[in-house]
Amino acid sequence: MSWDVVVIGAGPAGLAAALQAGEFGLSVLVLDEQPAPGGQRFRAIEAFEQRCLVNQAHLSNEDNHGATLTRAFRRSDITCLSQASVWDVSPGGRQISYLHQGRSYSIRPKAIIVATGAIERPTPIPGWTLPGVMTAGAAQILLRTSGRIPEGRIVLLGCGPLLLLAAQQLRDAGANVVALLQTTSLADFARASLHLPSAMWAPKLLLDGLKLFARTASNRTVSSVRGVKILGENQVRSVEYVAGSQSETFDCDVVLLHFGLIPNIQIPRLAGAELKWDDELKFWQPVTDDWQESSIENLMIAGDSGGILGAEAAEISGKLAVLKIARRLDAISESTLEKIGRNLQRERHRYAMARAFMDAIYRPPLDRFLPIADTVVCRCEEVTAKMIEAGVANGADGTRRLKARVRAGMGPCRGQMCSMATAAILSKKLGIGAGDIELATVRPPIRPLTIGQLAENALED
Amino acid sequence: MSAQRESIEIFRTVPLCFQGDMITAKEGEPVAAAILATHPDFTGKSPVSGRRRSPYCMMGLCFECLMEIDGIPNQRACVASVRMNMTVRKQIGTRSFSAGSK
Ligand code: FES
Repeated sequence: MSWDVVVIGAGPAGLAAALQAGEFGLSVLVLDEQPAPGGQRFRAIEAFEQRCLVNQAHLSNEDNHGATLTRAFRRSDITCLSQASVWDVSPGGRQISYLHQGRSYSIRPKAIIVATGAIERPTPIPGWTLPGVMTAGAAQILLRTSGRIPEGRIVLLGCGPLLLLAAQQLRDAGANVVALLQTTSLADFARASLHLPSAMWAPKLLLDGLKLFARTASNRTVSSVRGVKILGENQVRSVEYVAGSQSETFDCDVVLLHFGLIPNIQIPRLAGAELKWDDELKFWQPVTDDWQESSIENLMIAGDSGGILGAEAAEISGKLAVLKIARRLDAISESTLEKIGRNLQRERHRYAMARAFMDAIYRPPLDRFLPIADTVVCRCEEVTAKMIEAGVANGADGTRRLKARVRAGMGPCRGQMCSMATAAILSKKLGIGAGDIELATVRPPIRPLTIGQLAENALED
Repeated sequence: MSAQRESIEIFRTVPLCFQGDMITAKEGEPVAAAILATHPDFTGKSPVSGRRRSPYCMMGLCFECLMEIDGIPNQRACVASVRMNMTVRKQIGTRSFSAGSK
């Protein structure tokens, strides 16, 4: 049997898409890399809800919603493979190859919905490879999946609503958060206020955002932080930074970094979908039409992997992504498509407008954080900023040549950690816009795969 | 790493063998979380410089948590969930990661 739709990712977008497709009577398979549905936003939500129940703790409204969504999904008859890692999507998006329980399979669905969410923008700063440095998201995952918090004195560093949220959650869980160092400045707030009128259309999101920075989540909060270095020999000992005209050092054991989210576009890149550079937000995102369809027919992109709009909007774009597919398979009529579609598009637009306000405040301070000198940019191959600059000086005029010369992006993470920073250095050195830097091709397998697994790959229709 | 304050644990604890030592892990938690809790120093070394590394993203992206799990190298310990009686070892860098071209 050939699946009507395969959804990659079981976060808010993927779950909403799968449920919607099921409602239309389409056959749906969900492939998810995590052990349980929920995505990163609702990571391990079922276990978390259970823990809250046992401990008579309160589940936030958002989490409650996530738990309800996950429950609806579990109760549906949709097939979901957890801990299934997609290692390839063929050019043109016809075939998906994935690993599940140690075996590899290839399938050819009629349509694909990519709902792989966002990743935290990797921002190389001196010392970021030291044990004791993690992303703020990683700490949230630890908290959610195993109820553990990093031991010792924690410094949170960077910008964005998630940094503040993480600080709050860690403090609530009893973590020793000693400082919150934000790169955000007053000027960011002033600039963001220009977006206020349009943001008013989605007041809930806006209020959540404002509530977040009203609360101070640590003993010490500093803004407009720059010149950051994480110091230590074998692990984190302290953080050094400049605020105003003062240089300060803070002793700590753990540093949690967060510089906002960027779309996870590895699968659209594998498939060869067209991408566009957003020069405001400083990231690449797949080009999609009003129905979430990429430049490749029947390859839809839903949720944050198509542009960062958050969990609520992800559910809307997830549902939206199904409509064209259902219409083409004659599961719904043209008028149903129009009726449901236009409503969802309107809602999606409201979230996009509110988001512009948040984005303006938390614009990543990329100019001030351009890696220099001995800062490791590519963690896998330990390629420093200096080595990349030397590569450019020796004639590497794009990511591809640079890869061949200095091995940046050649490691197992397939450039996921370094490609943005590498492109930023190239852009500066070559004096061309970041959007004009060609992206290196992503080659399969994007997940660890043995030769045996490849040889025994089962092709199913 | 310590348990969340004053909470009743819902996880079942299971033994896990790490570097030949028995440690206690929570069934279903990421393997990387269990290791970080008992051995926060480091979980691997860079194959290039030999410098210490430990899990960075906890969501399967950075490959800093590659370890040998039940005899199979190059497993992302943040993606693998703890089961009864696992054996986990540190590994120095990546070993023959891919079947395809680099
Ligand atoms: S910690 Fe990043 S892949 Fe496991």
